[in-house]
Amino acid sequence: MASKDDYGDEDGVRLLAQLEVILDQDPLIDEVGFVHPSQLASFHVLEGQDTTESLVEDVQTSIAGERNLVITSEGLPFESVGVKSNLLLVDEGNTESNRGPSYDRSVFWCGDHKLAICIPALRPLFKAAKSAYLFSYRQYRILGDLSQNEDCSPYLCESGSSSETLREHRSKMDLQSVEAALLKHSKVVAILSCDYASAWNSRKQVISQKTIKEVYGAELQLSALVLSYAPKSEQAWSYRRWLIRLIINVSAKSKEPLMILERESDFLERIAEKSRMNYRAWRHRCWLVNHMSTRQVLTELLRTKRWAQLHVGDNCCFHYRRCLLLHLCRSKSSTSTENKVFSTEDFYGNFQNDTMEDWDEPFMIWKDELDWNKYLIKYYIGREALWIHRRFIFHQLIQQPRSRYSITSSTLDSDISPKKEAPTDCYSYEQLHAFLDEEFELIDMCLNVADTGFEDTTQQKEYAAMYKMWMIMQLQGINGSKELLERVEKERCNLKAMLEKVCPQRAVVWEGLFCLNQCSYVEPH
Amino acid sequence: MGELEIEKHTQFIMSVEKKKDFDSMVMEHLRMSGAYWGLTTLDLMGKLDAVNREEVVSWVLQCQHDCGFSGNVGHDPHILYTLSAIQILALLDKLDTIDADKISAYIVGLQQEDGSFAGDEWGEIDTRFSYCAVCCLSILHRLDKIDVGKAISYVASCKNFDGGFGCTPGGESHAGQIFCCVSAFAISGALTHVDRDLLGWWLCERQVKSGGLNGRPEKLADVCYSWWVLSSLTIIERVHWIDKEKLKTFILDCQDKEHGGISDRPDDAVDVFHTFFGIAGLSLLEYPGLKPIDPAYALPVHVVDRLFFGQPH
Repeated sequence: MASKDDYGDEDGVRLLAQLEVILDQDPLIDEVGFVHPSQLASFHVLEGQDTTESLVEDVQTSIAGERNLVITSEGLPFESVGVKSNLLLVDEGNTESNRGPSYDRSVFWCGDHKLAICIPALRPLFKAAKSAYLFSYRQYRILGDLSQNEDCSPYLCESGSSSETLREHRSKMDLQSVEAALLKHSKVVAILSCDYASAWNSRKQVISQKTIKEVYGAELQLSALVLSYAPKSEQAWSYRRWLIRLIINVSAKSKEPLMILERESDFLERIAEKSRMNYRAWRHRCWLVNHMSTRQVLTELLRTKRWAQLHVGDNCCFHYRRCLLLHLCRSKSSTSTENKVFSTEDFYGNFQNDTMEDWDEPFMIWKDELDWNKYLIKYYIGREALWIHRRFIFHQLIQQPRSRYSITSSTLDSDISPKKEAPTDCYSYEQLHAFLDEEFELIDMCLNVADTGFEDTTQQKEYAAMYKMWMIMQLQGINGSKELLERVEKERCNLKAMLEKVCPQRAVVWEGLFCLNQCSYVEPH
Repeated sequence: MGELEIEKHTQFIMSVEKKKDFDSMVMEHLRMSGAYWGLTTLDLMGKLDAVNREEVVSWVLQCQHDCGFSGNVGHDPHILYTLSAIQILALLDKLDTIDADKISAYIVGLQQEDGSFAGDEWGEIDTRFSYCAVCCLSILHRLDKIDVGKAISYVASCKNFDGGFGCTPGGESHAGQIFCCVSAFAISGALTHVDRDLLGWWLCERQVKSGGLNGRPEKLADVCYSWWVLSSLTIIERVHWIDKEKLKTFILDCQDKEHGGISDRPDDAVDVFHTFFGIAGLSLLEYPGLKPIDPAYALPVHVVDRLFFGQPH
């Protein structure tokens, strides 16, 4: 069937009906894409071919090679297209009932739980869906008002099982069918226009009256379906959170919330892979941390450690780790014991640490993160996200009490020895200076990295210089000994020469931050 | 390279209204914000007379519900579109067409126990909504109707180690969220909550080699951040920490000089959202021929002056 470019309103109504049947027949559809008619045709060709392997490969390669296969704002490739479809949907006219619904093959393709819709049909489809949705929503509101305003005396209804008025009974039936229509039509609106908030809101009105878990699962599925082509859709993410809050409220005592969190984690990792540094996706992931058990937090730390190493430029992932680590520290400082039941191997994965017995101190958590970060900085040159992460860890470390039994003291290091109580807070005098030595050594190493002629070495030097600035700024803000303050002042005065060499364009900034033209430190002769 | 094509951009904005294709249809739920972007841009360029004001006001009022405004006729109300509607009415000097007490009551109803604001009855919390609440009520001269102290302390709780702000406490610093938080502080007279040096540093690091600004580390430059970063820097008096000339050049490079409009980065497709933020950014950079814009209210300065120094309603 030749594809049309111009569909009318009746086409829209017809196509809407077909689409709704497709969605109803395959509730497992997890991916949708809007494609050019020629691409749609090629999906059907692939599916219909009695194929030789090379033909399959040719077509798959040519499809995979087209970055604009699916016309979405993300330019995401349409996944899993191939002949392994076992849900072949038939030509119009073939009525084998176990083969699925018939539909217009110039508009739709469905297989392997994937759905493609051709772009020229979107406008009439949306018009029809919106119209149907608004109508069913009006009916829903009317019926909802009616059932609240009923004033009927009770008598047995036809089924004889409950005492309700006939009108109430009929009204309930109407409400159910109107609800079903509303859900059916709003689904299509939400799929075609992912941020049409009112459509999602209507679903909230209906779903909030339901308590069956399968219903929630189907709604999460819908949100995931929309996110498959619109991973930045604010409404789809917001709906997901609304659902999860509802599920947690309704099934608080069961294992349901934990299972949901695990599935969310898998889902979010797939989204993170497809849609890089997606603020809304990672925001959602950080939101989930509030609901996680300590064991889940640790699992997430392990997973994201592996993931971050493959995506060292993904600032969102490192920010997520910061959320997890902060959460861990806060739960460590409480007296809960739920977290004692896993091995240190679970936690560290490939990175062994000699002082593992100290790992349950927040201090060690940050120190380990710092060491791992150093490894990455040395290996992956010029990655801003790594240095931002280091700034944060440094900031945490110089404030972190060493032991959970610490006395909170504002003195960072002390030349009074030894304290009567067991472990002192934060770094001792020697430890702090040793720590600063290590950091300055790393900075010097990065400042002296051999020029490759590529951008990354220039960037590495600049980030190292900025990190040194950061360290000075943070250290200036703490209460330290005389020796520390002198050391910091000396480093501050040496900043200017370094910054002039590495990033002269930021002169205004470091002048504003540090008044580097005024240096009180005088090198002793 | 160097010139701002005011006539072309005017034509582009006027043409957006007429588009009936699918991509325009799926934006209809945010038409109120689109109208605010388009109208404010026209005013900044001195071209607001091209528009039929009565028609605009009449449409805006059709979007008024018992509580708040929706993004378009027949859609659900939300605090985002309530702000856009109020901004449009302020721009057109038609605030007397609405019941300010009713709108205020709607916004007050969205404030939560912890001082945060939900976007609508469904409860999503975001510092953007705190900004919407504060800005809207300030324009209506009813800021005292909410618990301002709690609103501000909630926003302050979203401050991160880098001096930036996220959408909720602990949320990743993002230039858009930072604009909302800093502006909310500015409007409420609470800028002491901002560490100007620390935040200024984070903001000036948004400038990349091309001269454009990104919204977060490791991201590409995008014209819309010319507004969110620049307005924040303006409010905290650190604009001189970026290279203004380079930024100006970047924004001008994002114009479609043939058909009008501005895109997120050079040679991409244009839209009214990026056109507004590009022009607003140029206004903050004092580009000749553009009216000055207020960095916190995101309205032309003459409108803000009229609100606060003209005849009160």
